[in-house]
Amino acid sequence: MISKEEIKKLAQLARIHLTESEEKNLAEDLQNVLGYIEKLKEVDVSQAPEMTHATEVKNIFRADEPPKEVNEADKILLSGQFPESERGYLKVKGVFNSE
Amino acid sequence: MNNIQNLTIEKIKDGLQSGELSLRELVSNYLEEIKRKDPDLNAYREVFEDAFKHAEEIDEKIKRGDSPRALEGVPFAIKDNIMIRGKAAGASSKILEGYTASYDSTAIARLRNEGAIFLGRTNCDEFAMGSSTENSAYGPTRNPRDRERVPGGSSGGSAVAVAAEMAHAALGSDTGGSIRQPAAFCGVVGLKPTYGAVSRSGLIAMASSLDQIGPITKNIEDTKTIFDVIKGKSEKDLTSSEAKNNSHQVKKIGVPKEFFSLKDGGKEGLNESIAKNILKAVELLKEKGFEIKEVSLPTSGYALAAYYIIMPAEVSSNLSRFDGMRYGLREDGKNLLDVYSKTRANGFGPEARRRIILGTYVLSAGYYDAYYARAQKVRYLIRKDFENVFKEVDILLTPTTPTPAFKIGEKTSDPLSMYLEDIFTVPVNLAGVPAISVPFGAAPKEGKDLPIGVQLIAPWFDEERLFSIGRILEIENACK
Repeated sequence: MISKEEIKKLAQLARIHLTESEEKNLAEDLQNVLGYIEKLKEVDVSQAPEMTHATEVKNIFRADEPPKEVNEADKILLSGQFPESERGYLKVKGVFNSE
Repeated sequence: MNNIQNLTIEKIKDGLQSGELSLRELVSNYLEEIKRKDPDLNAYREVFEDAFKHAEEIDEKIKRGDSPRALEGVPFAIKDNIMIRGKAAGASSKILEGYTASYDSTAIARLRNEGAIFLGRTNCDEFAMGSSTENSAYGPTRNPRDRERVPGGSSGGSAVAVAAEMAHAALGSDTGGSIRQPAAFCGVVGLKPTYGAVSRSGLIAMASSLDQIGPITKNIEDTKTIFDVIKGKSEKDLTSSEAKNNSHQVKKIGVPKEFFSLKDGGKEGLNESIAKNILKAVELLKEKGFEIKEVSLPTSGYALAAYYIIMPAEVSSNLSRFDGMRYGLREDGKNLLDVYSKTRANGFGPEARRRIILGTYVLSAGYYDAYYARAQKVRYLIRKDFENVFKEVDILLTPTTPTPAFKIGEKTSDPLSMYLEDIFTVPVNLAGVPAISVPFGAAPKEGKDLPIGVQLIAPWFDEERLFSIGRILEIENACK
């Protein structure tokens, strides 16, 4: 059984604030899904490698150069997205301040 | 242009060439249909104001003597998780409110190069997570065949736009069935290409090892035309690749017994009308001279369980980028951590949160081997099953969904029952093979005929086989 403490810990790891009732509902939902997932234990996977990629992977190299000059229109489009800005720069809360 | 219903991409092109078709008129027609039907159906999140201007430009260009390109003037509806430069893109999530795409996705750039017109962006389940379009932060989309029912999902808005004549064609994305299932529920054609066949650059990522962009159309011919335009290697998606030269001939058709028992003429949990139509499709193909063979995909019964580990694991890492820092929603908080968790709490809807928490759980220390590693091994076995079965047969035939469209609200309280909707479509994404849903027959329910989809599955990069068998089903379906 997944405890509320476990859900709290997961929410903290995932950086999502949850209310009490959400914690309770999520514990139940997770329990149901994990119950269903249990059936994977029936499969003999002793001979199977982990499939870590959907396609055959090989290294593909390219020069470490920007594909094109970033033009003024791009800059406006990108900086226009900032939730908060100051003198054209993206503004965020201090990373090293705890309060 | 009194029958946009029977229009095809080829007819649009011919009409432009001969001067019989005016794109202004065509686009106005679609815009009229949207105005009339969409307040009720809610397929569109936004209709683009520049569509008509674009149509005028093409009309002028053609008048000057330019010959039409492959998709000249074809009006498209685009799922809200596929980026169009300068247009809002939101994946139907509050967390992206106010976000404008700063570049074209590769698929959009390719459509644009061939002359496509974008009518608007369509509603979907938030971040493409769902099977009914009920998880959109902007209200559910309704099925045009029965407004009380869901259109399927997550590309529900795109499927409805095409089914209800509110666009000629659409793009959707498919991670576990999100193109094929809504296509089946709405009676249109939906293609999930081979993993890597279409670049994912500019598709807002859900589960990157499973996501694919694909077309939703009225007919196979249009699907093929659009697929030929959007497919191919792109530098911006290193998992994309060119099709290998396969032999496209189909002689033997396999029916996997884990999906449908030919002997019993059905399967436990499979709707009876769907079973009947699968048998009809099999009989038809037999008459046409194909050999029908019962085959087995022994591990496929575990696909959905593996999917519900792999997908949320990828979701939890992909969605970590939405933190309120650079774009979209930002809530205020007493410190940086507080800003993150409040933004993510208010920005993500319940299903997105559920999958992020589930993904965080299966990836957390101590559970990795029990869940994620095991699921990836099962995924390997599922892929092997498909490799083996395609040594025996050239193509597979299954139902697309276990049931026809269900009622709005019917499954929202029980996430697991919603997940089970994707039981026939998910194995395809895990293996990376291409599949198509073709409308075939109907299920009568409460006085309404609900569409049924037949799913065809081909080996990697052999979409042509889907088209060739799909056409046979399509012709028969049109005769009914």
